[in-house]
Amino acid sequence: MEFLKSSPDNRQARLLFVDYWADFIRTHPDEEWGRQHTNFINSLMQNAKHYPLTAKQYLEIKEEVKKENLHP
Amino acid sequence: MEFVDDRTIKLNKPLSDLDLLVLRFIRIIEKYVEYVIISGYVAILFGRSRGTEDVDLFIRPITEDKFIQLYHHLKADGFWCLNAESDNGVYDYVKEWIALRFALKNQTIPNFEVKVARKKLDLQVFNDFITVKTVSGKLNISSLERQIAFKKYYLKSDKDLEDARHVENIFKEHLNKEKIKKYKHDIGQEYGIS
Repeated sequence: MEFLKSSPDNRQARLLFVDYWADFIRTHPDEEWGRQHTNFINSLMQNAKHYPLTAKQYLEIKEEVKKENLHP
Repeated sequence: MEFVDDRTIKLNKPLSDLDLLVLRFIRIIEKYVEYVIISGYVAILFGRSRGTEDVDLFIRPITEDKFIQLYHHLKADGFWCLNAESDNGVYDYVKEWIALRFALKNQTIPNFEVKVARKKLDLQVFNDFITVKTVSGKLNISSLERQIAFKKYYLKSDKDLEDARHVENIFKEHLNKEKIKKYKHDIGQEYGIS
């Protein structure tokens, strides 16, 4: 597979990484890319346990609070 | 990953904690109602390197009795509803076609945004969904072409465009471009996009 290309433009750099990583997935066994991906996703899941907002605060941000929300 | 047939993908990756949580949630949902997972988690399942705060899914319209049974089952298995607590309070959302969010008890994210399919396009996801066979169970996901069309032509945020690009890159040999065009047209008709 090709090396990761870069760009001074942040948007373009993100798209180049999307292409690079998809190419990695296509050219490597599920077990190999999956191991890296799982480590990454699991670390985000750990962070989620410390998410500071209550359900109500979260729903307010989402603009999804409907009449009597029963959770504090 | 490999296509076993047109509507089945076999995925041998080691599952993340997010994947395992999705499977745990879905095993309960499917006992009561047909579901299809849509949007960002589909791209993440196939390796997109980003997090998500929610997993979106459509369920078919459901009776009050059945929905309350489902809700009780979710609670018994450690989930809670972020929107309301009482049976009536929760079902009010379903009646009004408003999405409900469920998460593991005492957590806010990640959560499952459960929407009852109502519009014609929403209901169509049940006609051509794909089954993904993981190493720990099956999941129903929206057709890839439908995903790409929605993200590319309707949602259109940077995140959604990147998700669409990821799925297009991963499955480029398998995608039906005519279907993507058709969904783009259908989305335009239903949501009035250019």
